[in-house]
Amino acid sequence: MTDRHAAGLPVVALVGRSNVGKTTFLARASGRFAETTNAPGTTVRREVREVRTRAGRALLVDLPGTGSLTDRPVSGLPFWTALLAAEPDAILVVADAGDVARHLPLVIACRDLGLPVVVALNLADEAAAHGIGVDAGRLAQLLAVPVRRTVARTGDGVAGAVALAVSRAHRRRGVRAGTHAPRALVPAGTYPPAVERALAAAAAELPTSRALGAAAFDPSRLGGFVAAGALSPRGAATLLLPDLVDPVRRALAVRWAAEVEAVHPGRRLFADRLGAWSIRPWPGLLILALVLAATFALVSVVGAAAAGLLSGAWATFASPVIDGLVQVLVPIPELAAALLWGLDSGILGLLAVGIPYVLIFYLLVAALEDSGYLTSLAVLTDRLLGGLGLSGRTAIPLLAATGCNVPAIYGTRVLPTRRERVLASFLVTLVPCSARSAVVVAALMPFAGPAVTAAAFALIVAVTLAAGIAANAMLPGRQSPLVMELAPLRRPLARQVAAKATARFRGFVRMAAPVMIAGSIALGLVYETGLVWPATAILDPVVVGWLGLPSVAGLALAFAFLRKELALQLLLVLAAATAGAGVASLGDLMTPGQLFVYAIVTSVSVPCVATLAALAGELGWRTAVAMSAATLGLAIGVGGVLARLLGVA
Amino acid sequence: MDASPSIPLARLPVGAHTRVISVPPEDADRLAAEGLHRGDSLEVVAQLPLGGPVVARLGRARVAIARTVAAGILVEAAGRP
Repeated sequence: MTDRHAAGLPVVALVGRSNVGKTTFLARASGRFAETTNAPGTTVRREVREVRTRAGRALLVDLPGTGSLTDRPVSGLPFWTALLAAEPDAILVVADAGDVARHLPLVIACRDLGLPVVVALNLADEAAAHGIGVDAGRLAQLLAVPVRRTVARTGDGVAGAVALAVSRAHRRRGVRAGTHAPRALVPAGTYPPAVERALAAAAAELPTSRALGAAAFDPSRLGGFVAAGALSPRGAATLLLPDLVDPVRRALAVRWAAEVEAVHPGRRLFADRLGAWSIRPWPGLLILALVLAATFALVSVVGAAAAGLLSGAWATFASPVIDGLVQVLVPIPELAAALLWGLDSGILGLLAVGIPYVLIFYLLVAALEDSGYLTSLAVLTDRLLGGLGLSGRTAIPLLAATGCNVPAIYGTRVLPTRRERVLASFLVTLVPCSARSAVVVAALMPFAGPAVTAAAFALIVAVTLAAGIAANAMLPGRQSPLVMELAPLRRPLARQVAAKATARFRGFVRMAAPVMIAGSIALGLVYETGLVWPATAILDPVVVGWLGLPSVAGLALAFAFLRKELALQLLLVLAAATAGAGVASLGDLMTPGQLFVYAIVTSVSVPCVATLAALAGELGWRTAVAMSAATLGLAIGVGGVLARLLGVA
Repeated sequence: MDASPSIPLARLPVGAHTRVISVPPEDADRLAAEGLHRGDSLEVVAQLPLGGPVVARLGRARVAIARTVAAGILVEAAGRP
């Protein structure tokens, strides 16, 4: 929070349950859309935005969705530690206007802290569509805090609610600086006398509770926060006694909700019906099949067309320029050729895979996320994934992995335990990404037909499931069961989907571009200098002896570590270099049986270098290397058995 | 708590309205995080087959609960239809 001190701006914390539209609220308040998901637990990082309102400027801090101040939504620490770490001067609680009873306990808890609180009754449009009206004025009286109705999707009421919170934050700053007179914030006697007495007793003992211990979320730190004026002694006491106050707050919430809500049972909305269908086996599985079919159709048809256009444009416009420049600037022919591997074909590879496949896929996943459908997917797949030691939450990264493994590995962050993250990441590396799927299709479709291609994918799925079951049995521990709020189905906001997809795509390019370009140059150097050929002798026993493939296939497999989609192009280049003319297509180099083995081994073996880097960053190098070794062993084992079954070796 | 007979949430039919009598202590935190506590009213909206999760409606929210957890949640057996 150094930026905050530099700016000296008051801080307003955004607090609310999952799926209440907090992140959209932040986007509307600050005029900038970014990463958000209509699925629980996805605000992993803390977003800080400067906002300008008619009440002045302030910093708005978005915190992860939480059900109470003592829940542990991320990283195992109670939510209040994150809240107090943001040093808020006021709290803007975003609550669901259509489900006041469920959201009020968090509002009451924030109010108890002794900080200024403003309530935004968000999703007011959805509530109205469900026939639910809320008397905001009466609720404000009961809570003794201002309540504003908002619709974050359209922006209605957002500016007013934020301005109010900002003015309260400025006032509190003023009170602490001595320029404003303080006001009582919380009326006394909200709770039954016995509870208030217990809170008063705990508040009185705060300074001495420093002796309790030294855990990271040590409640004794509360004494320090109180001394610093970050919250009231009574507020600290409510954090120490959640088991005492939470049931009272829930009862109060139910009573107040009944008093302020007017429900007119209306017609059942189509989105609700669709939401109910999507979690039943019928027609839920049909909906799932349609969603998956549409995803793959869009990615393969639109993606392939875009990839063709891009490659054509690159070959016509960019390639000649880059080639000419490099030839002129680099006098050593081998070096020039090696540089071109990176600057010409390397960048082309990044564009031809990245823009058509990865970007389109990101747009689709972003739209699915924002629609809320992915939580239905988690329910439908929970049982299947349970057999692999995972919960339905893993379905989301596994789906993303079919586009690119790298973002899927980051996506496993939503899983609660390291064991699940390791298991899920292992499965992710085995799921064929778009580049590997392209290799399988290009190797088999023309030379062996669609049935064999489908069989290859079925085999890859079977290998993935078997490996997942084995990994689950080998890793100690057990899975944490699924308990998850389902997101209501909503029409995705185009701006939000576009903002999220482009943000993730930028991340992908930043991560993959250096690896692909530098890797391609290294590859080119090894190839152009002829150092490549002695390497074949080392690989021959496995490649020729065990897998029954031509010698050059080993090099192509090894280099595919840098770029999976190169596995085929490279094979052709290497084959032409060794065999000379006459090797115009893969069919001339390998039999259909060999191509099948080659496609399976390419798909299952070691993830590409970008995936390895992502694994290492998320789980550590030891785990990343162990996983890669496991997939390599699996690929060689399965490939060798296949070679014998198919009579290739 | 009254003396109405209890039954695991996992065994209640879809459409049943009931009240939570007890939650297993080891799952109490994660259930509370999604807003499910002892004494809450809920409606069963889906029971996925082959040991899949149970989906319960709490207020307007729907919460998916793994069957292993739902098997430990005791609810009133005299579920109102």
